[in-house]
Amino acid sequence: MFGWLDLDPVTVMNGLAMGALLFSIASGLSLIYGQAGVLNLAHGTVVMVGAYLGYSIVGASGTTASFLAAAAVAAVVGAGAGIALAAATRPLASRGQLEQALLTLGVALVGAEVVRMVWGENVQSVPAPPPFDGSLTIMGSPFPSYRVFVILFGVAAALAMYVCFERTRFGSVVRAGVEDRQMLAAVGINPTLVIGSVFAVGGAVAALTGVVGAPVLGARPGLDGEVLLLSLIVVVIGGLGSVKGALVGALLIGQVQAVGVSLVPDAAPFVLFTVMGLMLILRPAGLFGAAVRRHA
Amino acid sequence: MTAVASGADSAETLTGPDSVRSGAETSLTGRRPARQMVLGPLAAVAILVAAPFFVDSFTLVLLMQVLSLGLLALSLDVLVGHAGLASLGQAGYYALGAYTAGLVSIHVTPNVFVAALAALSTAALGALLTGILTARSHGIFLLMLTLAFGQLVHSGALGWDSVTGGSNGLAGIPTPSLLHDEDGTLGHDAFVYWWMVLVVIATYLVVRRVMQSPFGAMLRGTMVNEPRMRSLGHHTAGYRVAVFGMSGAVAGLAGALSVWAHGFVSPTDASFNLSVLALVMVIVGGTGSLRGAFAGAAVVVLVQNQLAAYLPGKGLLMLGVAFIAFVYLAPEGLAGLWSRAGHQGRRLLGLARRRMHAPASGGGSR
Repeated sequence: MFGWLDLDPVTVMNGLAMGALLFSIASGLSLIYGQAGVLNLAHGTVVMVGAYLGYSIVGASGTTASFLAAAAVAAVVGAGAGIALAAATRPLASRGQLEQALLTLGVALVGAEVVRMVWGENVQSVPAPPPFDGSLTIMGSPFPSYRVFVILFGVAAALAMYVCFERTRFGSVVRAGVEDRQMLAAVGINPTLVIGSVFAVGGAVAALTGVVGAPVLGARPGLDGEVLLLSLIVVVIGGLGSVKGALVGALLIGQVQAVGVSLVPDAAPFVLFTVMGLMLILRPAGLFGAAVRRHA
Repeated sequence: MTAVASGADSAETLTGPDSVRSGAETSLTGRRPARQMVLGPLAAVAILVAAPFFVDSFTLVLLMQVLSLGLLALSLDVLVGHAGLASLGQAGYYALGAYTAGLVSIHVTPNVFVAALAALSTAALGALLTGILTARSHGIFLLMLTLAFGQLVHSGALGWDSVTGGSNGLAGIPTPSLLHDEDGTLGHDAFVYWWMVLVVIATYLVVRRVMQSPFGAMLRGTMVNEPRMRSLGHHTAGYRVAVFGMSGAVAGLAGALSVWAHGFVSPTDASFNLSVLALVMVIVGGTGSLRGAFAGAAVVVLVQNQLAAYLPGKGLLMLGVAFIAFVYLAPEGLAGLWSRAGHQGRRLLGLARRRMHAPASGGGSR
């Protein structure tokens, strides 16, 4: 057990990188739920599509330009997928959250199969693009510089979300919608448009994170499930609907994962799911979530 | 929550105008005469039992898979279709049962009854715990909680290598024996298969009986409107724990079946993917229709094995599309479609009979 205290900086940095990726993925998941009441179980699939797009476009060469191109394509594809999901779940809105969640599960199944048909079943690696393809030395240990980029990406994403939500009109509309969707409609704002936009942005960010994360996570079958499970833990702990919660949750989970993988690989998933279970039983709203709303 | 709110075994009870119009086919209460009700299932059982005589050993293994997965789907259907509790962690109880059966067979005795009982109890315990802890959870929160439990079992199976063999799984499980000592082993594949058929039929009948009992009715009432049931004085939390326990026991038994069929168990038997597959089987087969669970399992096994030859790679895709279709089009599933086809067929048969028997006088068969 004392190994837990023996945190070397590389593990902490790995944890931060993991946390950065988890934050940008989970914040989308959290917002989609907060806005539309939909637990998007296809979110991990969108991330996986992004990773595979990164693999296809960046390829073996790994130039900066191809990386940027992959990011752009992924963002567009992710946004499209998000809008498609919004449209698919809309008819089921009256039947309840569970039905909508099941539908996204079906989409995830189909999506995973499509990915398998297009890209095959092999594990593909994606090279880190320059100028991040080297390694740094942190307190005597080597550390891939790309992971530093990932951490910076996470910081940028967090800043972007903060600016968007606290300083723009769109952000205030989204926050209002999370609080009270019907009031939003009463004030004259089309909730369908807002929901669609949140889905689109969430999807775009998820796919983008897939590209950014690809050199770290790889593009492989099963990525969707792993990403989804970790994101679910993050949003449960942080609170569905809260970006701040997603940040706290992601940092926490990132550290547990990194420490777990390096020191006590058997214990990490156990700890994570136990905490998730306890949270759901004792405080379903999570650390920062709004009070649990009862939908149909 | 209409997709999970259909009644039990709607395929077996004819009610409504159709039953009265088709005159000679039904009795006053609207139920089909007893002989007709058993004919179909009896035929199915007969075919199942005769199977080892006219199929090859590979198909027999597939049939065994359908049996164990079907029982898993049945356990989930009890939760989803009759209690309205959608679970994404059913594989957890399945694996608990499988590992228990395997460990008991290796370390204690390969006797099937002991192994089955042990599997059933362990899984039921896990499920009872889940039921108690999820007392106030609904909808997607329940979904995530059950997911967490399933994953806990999965990580336990992976991590506890000394007992479970970790990611390598548990191999070398001896063939099940029917008698107390080693002599009465169910050596031949067919005998294991017949034993599985027996277990499945017995479990199905027990589950169906329970679901048709007042307890089942109260479960369905709780599914439709829990606050009202509580206001009427029903102890709904107790029902929830009970149905979880039952569902867990059946899932554990399904796990034991899988161990007898394959002689092997690994953490994949507790995976999220299997839990999702179980849900797919239930929804495609028809939530609430207990027989539908086996239909769903048959479709899944078919898609995963047979169709690969005809439609390379597209089987799972079609399954996913079918899943989506059934989520949209409400809870019928295959069993519902089958019963609707049956209604139509009987209606047409009734019309044809009336024309044959009383062509001049209208409504003679009434």
